[in-house]
Amino acid sequence: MQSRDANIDSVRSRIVAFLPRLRRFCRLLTRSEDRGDDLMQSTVEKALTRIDQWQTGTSLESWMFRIAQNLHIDAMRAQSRRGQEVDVDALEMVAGDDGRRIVEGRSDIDRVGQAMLALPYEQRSILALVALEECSYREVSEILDIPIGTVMSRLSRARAALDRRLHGEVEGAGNDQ
Amino acid sequence: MTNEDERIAAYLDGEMTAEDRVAFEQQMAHDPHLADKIDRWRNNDAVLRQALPTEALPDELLTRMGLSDLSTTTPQAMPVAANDNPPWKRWRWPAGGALAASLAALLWWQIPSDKALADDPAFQIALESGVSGTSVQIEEGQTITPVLSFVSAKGDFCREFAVGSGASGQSGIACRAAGGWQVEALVKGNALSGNNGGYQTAGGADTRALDSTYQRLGAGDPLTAVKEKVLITNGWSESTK
Repeated sequence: MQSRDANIDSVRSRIVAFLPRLRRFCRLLTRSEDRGDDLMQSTVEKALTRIDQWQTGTSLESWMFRIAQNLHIDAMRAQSRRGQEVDVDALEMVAGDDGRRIVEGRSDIDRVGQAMLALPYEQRSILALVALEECSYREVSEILDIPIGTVMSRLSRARAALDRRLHGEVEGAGNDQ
Repeated sequence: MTNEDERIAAYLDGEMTAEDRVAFEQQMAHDPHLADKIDRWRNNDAVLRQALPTEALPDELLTRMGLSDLSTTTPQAMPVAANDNPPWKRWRWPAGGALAASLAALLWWQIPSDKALADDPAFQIALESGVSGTSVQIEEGQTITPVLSFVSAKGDFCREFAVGSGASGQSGIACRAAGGWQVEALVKGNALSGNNGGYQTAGGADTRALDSTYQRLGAGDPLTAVKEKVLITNGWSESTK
C-alpha cells in the first residue's frame, strides 16, 4: 500500500512538473488565458480520476495532451446547438476571434505569437505539439488520433501558413485550409 | 513525403531517414531558394518558442487542483519518460563499439538535438555573453562552456560549446540567428577536463562528429579572443558580410 501511495505521489509530482507545458498547450487551443486554465484544470481532474487508464511505461504527458485536446473538442462541439458533428474551426469562429486579428507587432516575438494564435485550430494544435512541445510525429499521431501522413501534411500547411503570416507571402489571404 | 513543404518540415523535425536527409541537403546546396525557406521556417520555430515560453503556475492554481502540496518537491525541468523526452534527450548513443570516422557525418543527424537546449535561457545567455573557455552554470551541477567562435560561410556568428565535461558531457555548435542561438549540432562527449574549464585540443573521438557540421557551415578560422570580446560587448552586431 505504501509503495502504491508512493507511486501515486510520483505520478502527481510528474503531473505538476508537466503543468507549465500543459497550460501553454491549453491556452493555445482555447486562445484564451482563462479558458486555457479552465481546460488545464479539467484535464488534470480527468487524468487524476482516470489515472488507472494510463499505462505505465507510456507517455503520461502525451496521454494528458490527448485528454486536453479531446475535452477541448467536446467543449466546442457542445457549443453547437444540437451537438452535431461540425467543423472545429468553424466553431472557433463562433467562440471568438480574438486571435485572428494580426496587427504589426513591435517585434518578431510579438508577431509570431499573434500569428500562431491566428492559425486555425488544426494547424495551431499540431504546431504547438511539434514546434513547442517537441513531440515526434508518432506521438502527435497518437495524441490527435490522426495518421502520420495527416500529421505531415497538416504540419507543413501550418508552417507554411505561419510563414505567410510572418513574411507576407500571402497566397489566398484568410484561407488557411 | 509528397511535397517540398512536407520534406522541409520532416527535415527540421528530425523525421527524415539518414539517406533522405543527405539527399535533401544536397538538393539544398543547389537550391538557394529552398535553403532560404528552410532557414526561415527554422527561425520561425525558434521565435515561436521564444514568444510562447512556459511559465511556473501560481500556487493558487495548484491549490485549486489539489496539487499545491507537491509543488515544492517538484524537480525542475523534470525529464519525463524515455519515450516522451524532447528528441535530443530521447536519443540514445549506440551501445558499445567505436564509431568509424566515416559515420561521423551521420552523428549529428542521429541527435535531433537542438530544441530543448536552445530553449534554455541560460544557454542563450551563455552563448551570447560568455567568453570562450569560461563555464556558465545552467542548472545544478550542469555547465555550458563556449569553446570557440567563428563566422560561417553565410556570415553568421557561430560557437562551439560544451555541455558538462568529459565523456558524459556533450559538444555542440550553435549559430546566432534572429531568434537567438540555434543549435546546429549536438554530439556526445567533449574534451573538457573536469570542472576547471580546461580544454584538451586533441579532442575525443566523438567530437570529430562536429567536423561535418563545421564543413556544412563553411566555418572560417576561430576568432581571436580580442575579436570575440569586442563582439560580445557589441551584442554580436558587427557585420562580417
